[in-house]
Amino acid sequence: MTRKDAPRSGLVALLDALEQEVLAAPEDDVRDALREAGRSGDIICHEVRALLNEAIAVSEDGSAATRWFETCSGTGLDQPFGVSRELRTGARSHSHARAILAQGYRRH
Amino acid sequence: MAITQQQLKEWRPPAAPSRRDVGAALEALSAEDLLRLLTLARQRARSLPPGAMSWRDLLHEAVLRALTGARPWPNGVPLLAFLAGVMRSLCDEQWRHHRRQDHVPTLHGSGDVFGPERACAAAEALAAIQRLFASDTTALKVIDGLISGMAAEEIRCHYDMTAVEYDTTRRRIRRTMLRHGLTWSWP
Repeated sequence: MTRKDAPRSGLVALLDALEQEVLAAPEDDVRDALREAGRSGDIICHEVRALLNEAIAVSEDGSAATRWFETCSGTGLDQPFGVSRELRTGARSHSHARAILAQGYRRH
Repeated sequence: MAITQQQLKEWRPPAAPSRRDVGAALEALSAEDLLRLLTLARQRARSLPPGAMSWRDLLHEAVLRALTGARPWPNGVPLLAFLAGVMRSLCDEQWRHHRRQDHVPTLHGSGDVFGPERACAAAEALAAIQRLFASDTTALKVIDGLISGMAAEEIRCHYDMTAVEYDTTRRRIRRTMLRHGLTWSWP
């Protein structure tokens, strides 16, 4: 039944359907999945929470990196999504930014 | 109730939630919501070009766009559904960028985001999802139906499934996706 000729549209349809499943999943199902995962569930939730907090902090800072990204967004001058998450966060701390940039230079 | 001409004149569209509202809503997300968000990001990241951004970058970018107002959060739309939509469009954006960067040709008349490379990546992603359910033939039928764009009723009729059988299968699929959202041990 799979549309062998159109895997992209098939994937889009499947991902959209799975997305609805996840959004509409009863709380009990989600809680069970977390409980089954045990400690690794706690760790991954902590990681997602940290990621959200990081994004909130970056947006509140209105850092130069973010503004640069917004300026370049859609112009083709930016990286896939502008500045990488690491760099944008790093721009909040000069020492961190320098460390990341240094890593980048060392690669070349 | 009929709307008077005066009411119509005075009506203003409801303001979109402010940046502060988005931040507060994000901070208020429960552990269950975080798992949903994680699963959504990981699912979507599956459809990205090989070697492209990770699910973390995808989620971070979606959240940042919501926070900065680059993608305004419409009133009445649940936050997770909104972020899921932002991630979906970011994936298309990523493919467009990938194509521009690599000068990959597009198929004639197939739109900006379609190309052989994307079809190949999609086939791999589909195979990975199908492998998740390799031992569950009923789930595979439902998955195939979803891939073909069938509605629930069509899937049930096509595969001769009862409503209960269909619902329990969807539940198994849902739980599997959530579990694998956590462990990310996709075959």
